Amino acid sequence: MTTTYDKPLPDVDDPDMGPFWAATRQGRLTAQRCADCTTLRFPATPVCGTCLSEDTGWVDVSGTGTIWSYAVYHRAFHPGFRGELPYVVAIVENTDGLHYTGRVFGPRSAVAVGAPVSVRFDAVTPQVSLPSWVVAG
Amino acid sequence: MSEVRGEVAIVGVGHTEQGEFPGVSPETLSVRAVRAALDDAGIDRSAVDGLITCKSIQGLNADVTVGPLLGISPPYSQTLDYGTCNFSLHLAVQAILSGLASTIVLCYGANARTVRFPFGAAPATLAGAAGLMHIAGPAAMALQRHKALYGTTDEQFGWIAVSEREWAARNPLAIFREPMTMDDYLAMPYMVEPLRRPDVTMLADGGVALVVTTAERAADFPHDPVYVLGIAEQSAIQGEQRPGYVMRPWLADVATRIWGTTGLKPSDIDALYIQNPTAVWVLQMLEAYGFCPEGEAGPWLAEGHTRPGGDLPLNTNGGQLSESYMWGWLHMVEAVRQLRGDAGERQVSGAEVAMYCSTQAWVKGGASILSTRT
Repeated sequence: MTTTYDKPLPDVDDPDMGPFWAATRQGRLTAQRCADCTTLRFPATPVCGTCLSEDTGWVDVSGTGTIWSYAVYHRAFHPGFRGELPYVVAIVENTDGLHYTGRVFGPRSAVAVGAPVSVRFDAVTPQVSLPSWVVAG
Repeated sequence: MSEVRGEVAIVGVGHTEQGEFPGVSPETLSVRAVRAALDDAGIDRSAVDGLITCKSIQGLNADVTVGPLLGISPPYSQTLDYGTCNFSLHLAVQAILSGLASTIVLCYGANARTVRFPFGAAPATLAGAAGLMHIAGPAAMALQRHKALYGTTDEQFGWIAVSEREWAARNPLAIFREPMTMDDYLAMPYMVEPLRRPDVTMLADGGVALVVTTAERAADFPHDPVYVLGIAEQSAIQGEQRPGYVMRPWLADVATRIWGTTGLKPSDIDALYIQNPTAVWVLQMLEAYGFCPEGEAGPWLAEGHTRPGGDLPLNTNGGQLSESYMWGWLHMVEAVRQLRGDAGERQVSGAEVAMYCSTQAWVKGGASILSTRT
């Protein structure tokens, strides 16, 4: 059986974010780490905003954190989301202090600012594994 | 003290009707607004030696496309990507004080409604793939966090949209004038929770223009000049790279600059204008500029200060929630009308000092204070 994924897809070939998407395909959550000053950063950029170094590596980061804030979409601005309304999107602060945007799954009543969440990866196409967050019930 | 105080004045305002005008380009809408502003100022376009256009939300309306339609090639021309009119006014003040021009027309034009501009399109990013799209998304996150930190309620927050609708009922230009009570508001479904439809602007077609000149020349124009008492800006161009960007903490820096350079304080403001593609912008700026303490905008709004008859009339045109989108440019027009005493049944009695606060999404804030006295 084949199904067509009909929601927006990220550009996995983006020169800055490509390594992030490659890691998600392996079930790893990552961030850039400046090779000179060691500052972690996400979203990815070609230059370290702390020391202006262009020498960058990627490291695995924590897959647990808390909901920093969230929104509940009751309207689909993209037709692919029509069948999933209402859906929850959050900015999650992981235990490394980094912020990641992602869908939140789990009981709606448990979704709150500060609620603990853990990452999961959904392989929506062969190239794209989306990091989402699960809130404990 | 402010170097600009009383040096430059707004002497003409103009705009088109607001709505949907198929077949009319953003540049043509700009020209219609400029004609109205020149008429208001009582001058011919030959008296203009500067043109500053603001790109439409679609990226159109550059000076080099508006100029040919206006039939002018003034000594000074410029185009800004930044919207809201504040940044355009500030550029005009700089151009006039530096001697690049003496009488400048500023204009905005857009037909975003007719072309169905995809305000809510998803970017090909992690956020877009997660379904975070439309300005309502990050704005809803900012409000949700405000609620969690300070206990702000839907009803307290709803007073922004309800109050603006009360003002819009008194404004013939406003698109949304039908009454909306608090019960009506609370009965509406969420769009992007905790935002409801009335908390978010709706795109429209139209144009807006201003004529700005030196204080020396301003006395020769038919209307009372509306002087610029102070201007301030704060960039935040690191934007979404900074964690917590939706809360826009740098707004407080614009406030520090505008109050510091003008020597004025919130209680000096007779009529306040806050750009509001979403009502969250109002919540944030009321606190950042010190009109109420941090975290207390909710209870403060519920006290009715911003409503008709209140002690701090806010967005008396109906704002971008009820009047029209126009990237905030109509706020500046309304401030001028109030200060001139030309605001009809929504006139704020004795209004002498008005303030306009605005932002470019996550990357820049600006404020202007205007008055008929220097």
